[in-house]
Amino acid sequence: MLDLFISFLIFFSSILTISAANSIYGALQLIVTYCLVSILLLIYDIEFFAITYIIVCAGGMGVLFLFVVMTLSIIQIPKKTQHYSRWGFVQGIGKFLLFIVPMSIFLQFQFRIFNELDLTYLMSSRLHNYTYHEVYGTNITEIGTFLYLKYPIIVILGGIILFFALIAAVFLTVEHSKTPVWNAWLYKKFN
Amino acid sequence: MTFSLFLSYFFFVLQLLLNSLIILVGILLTVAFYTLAERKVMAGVQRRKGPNVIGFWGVLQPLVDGLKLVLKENIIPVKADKMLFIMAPMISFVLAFSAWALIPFQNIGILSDLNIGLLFLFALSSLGVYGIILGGWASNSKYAFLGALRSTAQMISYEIILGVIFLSICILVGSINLYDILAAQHQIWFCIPLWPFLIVFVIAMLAETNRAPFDLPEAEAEIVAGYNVEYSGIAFALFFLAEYSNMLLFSALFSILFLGGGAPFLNYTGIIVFIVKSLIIAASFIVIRAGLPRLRYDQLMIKSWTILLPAVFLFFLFIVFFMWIKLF
Repeated sequence: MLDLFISFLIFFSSILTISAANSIYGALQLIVTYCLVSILLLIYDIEFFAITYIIVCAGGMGVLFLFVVMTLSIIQIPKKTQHYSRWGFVQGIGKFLLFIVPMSIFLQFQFRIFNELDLTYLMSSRLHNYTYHEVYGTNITEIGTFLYLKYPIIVILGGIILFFALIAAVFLTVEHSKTPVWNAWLYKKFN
Repeated sequence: MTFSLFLSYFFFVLQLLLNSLIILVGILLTVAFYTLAERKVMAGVQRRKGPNVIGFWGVLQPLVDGLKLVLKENIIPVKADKMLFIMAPMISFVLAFSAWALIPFQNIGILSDLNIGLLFLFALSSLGVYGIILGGWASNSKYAFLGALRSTAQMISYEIILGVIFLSICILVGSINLYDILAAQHQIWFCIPLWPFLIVFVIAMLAETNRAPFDLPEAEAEIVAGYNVEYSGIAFALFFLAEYSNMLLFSALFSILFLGGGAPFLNYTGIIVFIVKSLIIAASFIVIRAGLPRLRYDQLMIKSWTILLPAVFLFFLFIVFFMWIKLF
């Protein structure tokens, strides 16, 4: 019941993310969405993923989004173009129905990742319960064995793709601009 | 539900509430007298007297300061974003104080014993940036905004270094539970085999808590007081408490990760040993502030990205190599 409530909140806050007129509020709603998703993961006892989600998404990406939005002066979307955001909202719901729902059903049937992971490990870790750990292993060991022993090649391929993306981003930004761009932005803004 | 079950549940919740109340009040009092200690030690270093009027030797000074801040008018600037302006100090305060639930004062968990303890602390410290950046932006002032941007960039870049240090300690111990980290130091404290990490951790700790010599967000000479220029009254007090609580938290974390916490003793002596260790490190914060001048901002960032981070990664690879050899 609680997870349904939280997923409803996630849906609501993600709608607010794309429909906010003030882009800083949009970014804040995105961060709220991240936090809610990590709470949902905690409810399903996937504590390690929940915390990494907070560290990576809310602690890293969210701060960078806010940073960019604050340094650029696009805080308020002008009223003329506000209907675009409404159109984007309609489009978003359409894409959600057309793409994500069949995709999630497909994923559930194909991979069954979360079915194979025995995530029955409970969060009731107020005191040490070593026997329980020894029998089932913690969340992290389970995920580790699953990733590195069952699907090592997929993990390595994903790593290589991310590495290429990193190199490409550095290449794209270094090649064409000799002076740093955002210094010029700050100079314009505060002078 | 039978009555006895309900009763046991009730007492469990009551015990939890009482424990958290004890920890909260204790931390608040420690923070209050830590500010007094800071002023006294700074005065001693600079050959002044420091606060000496209120109470015996000025002991009651922090209480009077707190009373003044509570009674002061809470000014909200006209053009500020009101909701975020009020929310930002609350975010910093709550995040700074909720981290104390995880600190192992004893060998048995007082409040919580998460399996992901160290990661949870790391997540809380990375969320702490939001209080600062929102406070700086919402107050609609150039000084506050520049201070917030500086502070955020500084905290993000030093967080990576802290993350690598945490990671290598986790690899050595084989767990991210704080109690397991304590148990792993029964033979030898980590400050001896991991001394390069100890040096880097001290630097990253100072930068993460925005303390001198890295107190650029509140550089008094350049940007009046950084992200909290526009704050007054209780809102400023919340930022202040959060900052000092973070300093104490990092000194406690230092004593857990490198000095073994209260590990060798069982039960109540462990608490005293742990607190003494943490307070010695907290005192070193003050002495460092009194002794060292502030760095320039570009020096700070260059030191982080070109010297500290490669060095930490190098030592991390060394540790991984060491563990790999140990496998055979």
